[in-house]
Amino acid sequence: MAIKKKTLLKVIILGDSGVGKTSLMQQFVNGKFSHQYKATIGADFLTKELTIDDKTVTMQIWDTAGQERFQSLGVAFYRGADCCVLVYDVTNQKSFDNISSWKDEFLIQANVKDPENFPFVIIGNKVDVDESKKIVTQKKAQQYAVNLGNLPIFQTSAKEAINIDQAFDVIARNALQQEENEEFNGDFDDAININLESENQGCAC
Amino acid sequence: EEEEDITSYYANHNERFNSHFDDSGSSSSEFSESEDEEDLVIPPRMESNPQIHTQVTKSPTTTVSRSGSQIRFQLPPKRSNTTTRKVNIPTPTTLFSNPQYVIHPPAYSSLTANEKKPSAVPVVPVNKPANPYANSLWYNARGSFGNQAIDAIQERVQQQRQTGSRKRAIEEYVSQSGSSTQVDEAEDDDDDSLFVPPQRDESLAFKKVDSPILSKHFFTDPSKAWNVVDSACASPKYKGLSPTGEQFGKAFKELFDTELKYSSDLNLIESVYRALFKSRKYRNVVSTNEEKIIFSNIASITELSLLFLKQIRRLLRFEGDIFNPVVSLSEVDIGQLLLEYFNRIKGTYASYFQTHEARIATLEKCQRLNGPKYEKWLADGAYLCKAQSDCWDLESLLVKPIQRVSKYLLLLNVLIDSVSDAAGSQIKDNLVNARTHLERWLDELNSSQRPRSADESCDDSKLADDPVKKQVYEQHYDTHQAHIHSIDEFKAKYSKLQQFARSVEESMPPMLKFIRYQRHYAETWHRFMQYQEEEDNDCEEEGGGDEGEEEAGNRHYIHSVYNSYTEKLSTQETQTKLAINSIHERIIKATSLTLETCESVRHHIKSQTNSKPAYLAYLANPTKTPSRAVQEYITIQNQLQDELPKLNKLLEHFCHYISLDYAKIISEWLSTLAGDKQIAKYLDLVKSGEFTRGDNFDIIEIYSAMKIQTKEALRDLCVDLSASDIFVRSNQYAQLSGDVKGVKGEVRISSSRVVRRLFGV
Repeated sequence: MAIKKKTLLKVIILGDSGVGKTSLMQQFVNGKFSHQYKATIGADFLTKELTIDDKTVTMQIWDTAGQERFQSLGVAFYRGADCCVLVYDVTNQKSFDNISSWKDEFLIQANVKDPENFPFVIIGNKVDVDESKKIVTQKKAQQYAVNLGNLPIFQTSAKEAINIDQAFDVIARNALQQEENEEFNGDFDDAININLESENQGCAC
Repeated sequence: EEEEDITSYYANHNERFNSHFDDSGSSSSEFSESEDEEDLVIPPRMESNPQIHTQVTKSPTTTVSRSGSQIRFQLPPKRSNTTTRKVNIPTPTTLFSNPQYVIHPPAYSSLTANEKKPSAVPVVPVNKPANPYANSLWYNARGSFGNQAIDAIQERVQQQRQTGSRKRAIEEYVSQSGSSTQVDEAEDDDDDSLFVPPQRDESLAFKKVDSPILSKHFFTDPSKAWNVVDSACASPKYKGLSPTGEQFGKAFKELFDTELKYSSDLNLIESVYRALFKSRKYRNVVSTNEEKIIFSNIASITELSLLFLKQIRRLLRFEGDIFNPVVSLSEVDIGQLLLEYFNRIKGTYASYFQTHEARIATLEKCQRLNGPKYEKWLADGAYLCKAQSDCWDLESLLVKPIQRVSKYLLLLNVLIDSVSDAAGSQIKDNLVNARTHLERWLDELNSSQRPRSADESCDDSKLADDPVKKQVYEQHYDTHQAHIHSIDEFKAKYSKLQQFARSVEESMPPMLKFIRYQRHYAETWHRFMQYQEEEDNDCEEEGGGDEGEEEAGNRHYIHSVYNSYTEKLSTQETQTKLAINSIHERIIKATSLTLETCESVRHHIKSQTNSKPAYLAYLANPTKTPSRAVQEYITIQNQLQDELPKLNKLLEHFCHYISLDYAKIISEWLSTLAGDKQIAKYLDLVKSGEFTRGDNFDIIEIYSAMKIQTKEALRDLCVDLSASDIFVRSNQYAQLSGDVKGVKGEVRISSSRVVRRLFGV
């Protein structure tokens, strides 16, 4: 039996608190948005089966809500991620400014093999608000995404379910691509030079 | 008419009506809620509905009220709620303040009176007292009677719908008053529910659990104190969303629900993944050490979580499944409980966090080194977990505790924001306390974790440089070294034991031979004496016959000496045979049994050595499909790693006891030959160090010297020796077994003092 192909794609959602990470997940996986009571935690992980080009993959989305301030604990979560989603709030300039620091944070913690080509997707959430409230313009955001390394960017609304499926489709494709890349040049380093030879003595009995 | 009543009432008492809503808490939201909760078990809460006050209640009699409460349980509570509510909306507000009527509303009787219920509807006699289970039993046990009642109600409702009287009334009311949409929604929802027949199949399929906390109404129930709070919200964040009390209740519920989910997920780790290792298929796929690292203290984390849940239940006074809301949620000192919980979990979680990196590294290492069965194990575990949770792969499950602690902070924030002022400052203070405590603890955890520095991870050769990974691999290397060492140790022990068994076996025939030899000696002596006698006789016959009497006495003396000596010899022979027998039974059999076991272990080691080339090939090229030999190698490796040290220890003990036993048998044997005194004398001599092995040392001397040496050797053996001592020890063994051999193999009978003493020389 060859090493089984993993079809579990791990997607991490990062961003400042309050930008709507949990809502995005909920909207994508369950198609729900709650006006009345927004679940604080939601689920630690949400999973959804997707079909991408005739391939069925399971996407596991990791919500990092609440973990923002405990960076060193993040190592455990970021490990083995296939794609990272950076979320900001279009009505919150600071959350937008923090995007790049979230990206760096992720790259440092996740210990990815090829940081240059790791897939990121930027999502500007809450576009359903009035134009007057929008602080981060689409143009500015797009320019920013290009500067960060030509990252795909989406303007979404978890509340109105705008652009959610499109965004996650791209996320899933990128994650799958990453997964395949990793498998292709999966290096089996020689950190395990077990000295088996020392055992190689005949039976004394 | 009644409709007129409703409209005029609403028109006139609009203001009062609204204030009534405020008084009764979030009753309206409760109704709107209840619509999408078809399958939830709703405890009968007729008394909680403040709107059930009819004209009839102006003169309530006990009989009426009792019949009302009886029949109430024959109907789905929601239905009876709405029905009666519709009828009884024009309620004199003065009654609201009178709790007497609130408690026992004659709901059904009023309905019968007003609606002119068809006489075909039988009043189902139920003599049971009101109990919360009546509700859940209702679906199953209503029988044809119940069905008839339902049909009748539906029919009636259908008629009403056709006339549309109620809807019209509400529409009029809405257009007139333009009241809050909330009321409008509530009414509409109620309206819909009137025409939806109870989904019986669904309710039968749904497994009813009568835990109140499972019902959303528990947290939104207007009759509960925690929901009856002012609409003024403490936090601007949630202003206008919903009443504070409800928010608090929901946050509380979320804390409870997520904790429930969390503990059940954690349980999967032990009950699925770890349990699989106990099955025959996956035994020894990982070594015990690896298993310990992977699972570490997850079991105690699970238990802590369960304990926390239990405490919440106790705090809310849920006794069993019985709905027993003695305490209202706003009085619950959840802050204190959380604080205690955080204090309790601190150490366990901290150690879990610290070992997490090693855990992941171990998992990775196993993935690489433990062969295809490891993968199979993960896949099987995932398959089994998939049915029970939406988070099924082991790695995600193992991250859960780390994720969970940071979530507590979020929940605490919501709880603090939404806690009602009515709850009392103590409770709020405790919540804030818990938060500060948690924050401090998390900061501690955060700083205690080794933060990965930027340059470290940017390094290209980071994988090899990762200290934790390195450590894990070093550990692996160490265990491997220890494993090789224990194999060597085993081999040495095995060969020593074999030698020992051989020498013991060899020692047995000389023992018997020694006795027989002596008998032979005695016979020869006897014959010699007889011969001498005859010769003497011959001489004397020539000389004279007067000495004949003396000769006869001499002969008699010789005869008696010979006879008593041979008698003694034959007893000794029997004793020797017994000794040999017990050596055979106690020593040889036990040793050969042990040797048999060792032989099978040796066979394992051999087959592992045989499959090693395949494993090495697999290591060099892991992508290639590994052969069976690889898995065999790994399995044996793990098994040996787990069990060989134990076996070595056991062998050590075995050698100890078997040599002691052997010494005991020999000492018994010697004491039958030479007497206890003699042996004791020699032992004392040896102990005091005055003993010198003379030219003509005999077996007793050697035995006593050997016994002292054996004792010393065994004392050393009992102490746990470090690996470097192995050779010293085996030398001692060699000496020991050499001595044993020396005693038995080189018995020099002729020069023995025993022999000389026996012969009286």
